[in-house]
Amino acid sequence: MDYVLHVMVMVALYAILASSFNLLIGYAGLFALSHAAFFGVGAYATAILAATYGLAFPVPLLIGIVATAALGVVIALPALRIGGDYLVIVTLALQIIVTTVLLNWTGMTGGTDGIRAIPRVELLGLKLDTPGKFLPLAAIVALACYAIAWRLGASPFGRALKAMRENEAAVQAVGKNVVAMKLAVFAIAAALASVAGSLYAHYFTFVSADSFTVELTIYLLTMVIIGGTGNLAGSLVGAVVLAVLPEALKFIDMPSDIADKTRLMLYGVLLIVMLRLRPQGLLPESASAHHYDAPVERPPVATQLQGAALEGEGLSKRFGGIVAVSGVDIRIESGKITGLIGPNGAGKTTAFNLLTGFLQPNDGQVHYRGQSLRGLKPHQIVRAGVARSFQDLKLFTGLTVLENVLVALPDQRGDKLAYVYFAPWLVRKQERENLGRAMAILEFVGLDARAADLASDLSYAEEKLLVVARLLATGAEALLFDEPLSGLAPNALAKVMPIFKRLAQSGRTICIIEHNLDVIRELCDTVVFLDEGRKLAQGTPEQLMSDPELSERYFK
Amino acid sequence: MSISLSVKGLVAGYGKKRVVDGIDLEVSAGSITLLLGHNGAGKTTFVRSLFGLMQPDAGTVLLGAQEITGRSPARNVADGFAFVPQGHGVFRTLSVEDNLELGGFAEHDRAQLPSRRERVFAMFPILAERRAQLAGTMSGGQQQMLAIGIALMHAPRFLVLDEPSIGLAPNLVDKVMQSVAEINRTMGTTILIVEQNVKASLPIAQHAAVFKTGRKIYDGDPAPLSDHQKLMEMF
Repeated sequence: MDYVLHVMVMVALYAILASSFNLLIGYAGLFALSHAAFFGVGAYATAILAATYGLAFPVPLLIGIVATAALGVVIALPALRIGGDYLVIVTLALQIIVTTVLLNWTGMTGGTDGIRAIPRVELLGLKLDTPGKFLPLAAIVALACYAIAWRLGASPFGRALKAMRENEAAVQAVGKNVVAMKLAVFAIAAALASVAGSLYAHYFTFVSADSFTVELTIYLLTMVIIGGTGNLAGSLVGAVVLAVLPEALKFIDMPSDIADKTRLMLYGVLLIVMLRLRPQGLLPESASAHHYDAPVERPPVATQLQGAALEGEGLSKRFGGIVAVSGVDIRIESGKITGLIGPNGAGKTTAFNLLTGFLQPNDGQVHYRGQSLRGLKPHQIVRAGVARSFQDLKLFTGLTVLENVLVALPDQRGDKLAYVYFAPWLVRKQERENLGRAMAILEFVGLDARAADLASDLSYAEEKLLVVARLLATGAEALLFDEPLSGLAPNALAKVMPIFKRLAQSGRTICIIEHNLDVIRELCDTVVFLDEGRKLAQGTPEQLMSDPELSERYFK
Repeated sequence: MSISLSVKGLVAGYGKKRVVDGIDLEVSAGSITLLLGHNGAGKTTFVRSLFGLMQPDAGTVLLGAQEITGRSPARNVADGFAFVPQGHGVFRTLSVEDNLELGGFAEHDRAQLPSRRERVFAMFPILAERRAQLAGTMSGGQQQMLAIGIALMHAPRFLVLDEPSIGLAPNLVDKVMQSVAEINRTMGTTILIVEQNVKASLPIAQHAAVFKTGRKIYDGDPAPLSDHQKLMEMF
């Protein structure tokens, strides 16, 4: 009986570890392979504070949380700059450093001997010294940890994390502070892992460094993947499967000399079969998809605004020896559509990057509403009212059409952890209003019927419409579109072009990069011509197209 | 050198969704055939399932006299069927030269490659100037030229281009179309070109087909399609 209860305690610990790990990997898309290190630091913090300094539960637990969350933030710092493969390397290195410190800081950690005789938890005079007595505590703490992770994942913050996973540049372009998001998710995931570590130390009354190696991280990773990345309930299932399966295999009768190896092989084969049958995991992300019930109120979208011009003065950008943009003055008027045209490689997209903070100019200034945008980060520029789209769309393809728009809405309380955990009713209230706004925007571009579909299921023309919807959702009034109409057939153009006209008429400041001269003639009030990084001309479409020199360079 | 392509009753789609719904198409040897249609009409799905990038659900594809239905792209390339995918099909982190080298990867007769590379450079001199540059750092138009160059390294007998003009400046669109016509004229390559830019691509085509929601609604002489009004009605 004790044996079964022991397995259940282990399931509880693994559930905490796997669900917090899923926040990093499945939600935020941050492949940080240092989860066992977070777990180990939490376990050692409790071991040292309880065994060496005699502090009683739950003080070591709380101190461990703070210490490990701080470590999580330290790990997050390199993750701010690097992504993908490099983050894997950096976090693996951290894992090794932590193991080495635990093994060699003998005075504090007992070195290879580890720390023994960690006091058991005593609650209400009852000593939790058997699996049966410990299980209720483990289960309650695991539930609390799961609730914390779930609340985060289900909040607008969790949605923004998934958007960041899909495309980091695009999530900045809709006004999210990716630095703050990464720090927060690392801190929370590390803190939760440390809770599991603290329970572990009290339960086993013994810790040693070889329990917290990279093998454990891989084991946890398997739980997350088998269960389903991006679905926290999947991590619970994964924890149960991986904790119970090896135990269950022990009941298969085999000659003892080959039993261990055969069981390991069976275990491996079963995992492979499971992934073969359910490549998205036992509970795939889509199974946890949010169902939104949008309210009927639809706030107006293209409301009349007091527009302002976006001005760039003397913008220059050099990459090494290549001058991509050189001394460009550009003034994008409100209430009009400005076309930015020129040969491929003329510096049009670079100009957009300079105007929106994705690149810092070597020289020059950008002003909007009397404010200099110099030195501001892309998300700050979006909040200042200037937003841009990307030539390659950068949609959040793993999110639904509605979520693509929702995530872009400005000033969401649900992006702030204080509101997510301490004032969820305020988050819900605003989320309801935001649903109405998002649906109104989708109706405005004509995508409301596709709201619940994944963005990856959209046709090419619908993708282009979603780009417009997402940019509108940011609430920015100056909207820069990088080739929003390229590759559209005439019937789709006839649908999309009026949207731009209506936005301009409402006082917004619109600039589009475009190659199709018919579209430019139809849409643009004024056209800026760039070539080799310089502004060669500006005027009405007719003026530019009748200029013989420009014709030579571009039109023919 | 020239080779024809014959498609009968092709059906293809994603999951339960039928995107190409029973299409017949004859591309005669040595011709340039233009494939038009609105977004989502099934053009890209059609050419991807010809080339073997996805498996058709039904129908047959003959390259010359040989059935190639559902065959792997690698075997198609080895048989002289080349494909230039939509949106800059280049290896971004490799140099122009290495991109072309990879284009000739499956060619057994290595001695052919230098002269083919020179021919690509002659057709697109900018690629020769930038032979050491990383493909991903070139402009969209240059990448499109390189993508075509990669396909030419195999001296294909049949070439499919999926929207080569997308995102290109007008002068480059014309340049690319002229190059396509030149490949057809000087090498005898049969060409199937998917395009949105009707105005630029019609003049080089001898044959045109129009798709609408997975079916073929026009097949024949390209000339009548230059009437804008008529095309709008079809779309």
